[in-house]
Amino acid sequence: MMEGILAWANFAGVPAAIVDCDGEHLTLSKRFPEAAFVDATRSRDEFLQLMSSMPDSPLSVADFPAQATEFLLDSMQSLRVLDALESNGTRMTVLMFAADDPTATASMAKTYRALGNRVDYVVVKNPARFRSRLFDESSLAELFRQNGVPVIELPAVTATTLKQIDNASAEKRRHLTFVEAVKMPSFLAMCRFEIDHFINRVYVQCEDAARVLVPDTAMIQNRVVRLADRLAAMPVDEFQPLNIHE
Amino acid sequence: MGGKPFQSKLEPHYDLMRDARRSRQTWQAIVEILAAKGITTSAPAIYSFMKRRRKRRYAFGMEPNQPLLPAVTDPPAPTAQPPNLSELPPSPSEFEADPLSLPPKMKTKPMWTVLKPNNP
Repeated sequence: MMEGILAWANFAGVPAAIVDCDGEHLTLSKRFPEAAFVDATRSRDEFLQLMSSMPDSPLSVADFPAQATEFLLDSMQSLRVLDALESNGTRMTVLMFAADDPTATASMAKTYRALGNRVDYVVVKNPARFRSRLFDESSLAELFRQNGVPVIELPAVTATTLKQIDNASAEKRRHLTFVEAVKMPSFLAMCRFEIDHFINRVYVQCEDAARVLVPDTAMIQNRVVRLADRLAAMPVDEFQPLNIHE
Repeated sequence: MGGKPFQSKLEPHYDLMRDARRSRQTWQAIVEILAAKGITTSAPAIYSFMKRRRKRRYAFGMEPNQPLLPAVTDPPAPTAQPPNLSELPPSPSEFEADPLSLPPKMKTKPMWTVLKPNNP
């Protein structure tokens, strides 16, 4: 998801500062070799240095390990990170990954209880990791709906296309982003179209969530061309299905 | 039970080799000096031997004699004239950088990387 936000920021012409703090997966630094890995959850000292060195950029993206939630919340409380950010005119946005396993839901609950409405949220739904409606039926989801929290739903990508991305990465000897992978000549046309659709959906949803991703939506220099959803735009009349007027 | 501990044949000539190095002799020159004494060896062997000797850790009580520290002498008696205070070095400041108590150097590499948009 971080990759999607960064790709959108690049597309939208918004400079973004990035740091990878997830030493287990190194997702950001693998796909964005410029990104440094900083073990910010090793100690509170490292975390403090990271937060205090945040550059003056409209968007700053940090990828922390999921299992460090407790450490991060404790550190944010003791260092009064939100007060410090507020004095700089910065507001934090937390990505909440909708999940149905007890560990993830407990982590979401802890995060919301600790940060409340002092931060903005974006709910991310990944169909590959989230199959039940448990989250949607929760009170937290209802609270988010009432507060107009943006939701980004990642479209499912076929295994064939994911394999194509892996092959393209192997060919280039480095982990490619979706945007980079589709530029490879060896990429199958239909897989390319699927990725184009994926990217478009992510860009559209990021643009819709821009008010919590960038300080001012006027910063967006490049708007997404929204693909018309023909099926959704023209519902079939159940009683006169062939009554089609172009 | 082990036998007699191994001792390099170069061991008795350590002082000679050390003095030769201090007088800027090459390793090959030392080989030739030792050859004159009937010791057959090579330059790399001497080099390795000297390197090992420098890193040697001695068993307790078997350390070589250390040079004696210079005797502590009494400070000179204060002169009748008081010192000119303006010529004295400045007193150490509480906030001055003290290399012994400085915290570890902060990371010089920036933690954050700013990606500039490259989309036309």
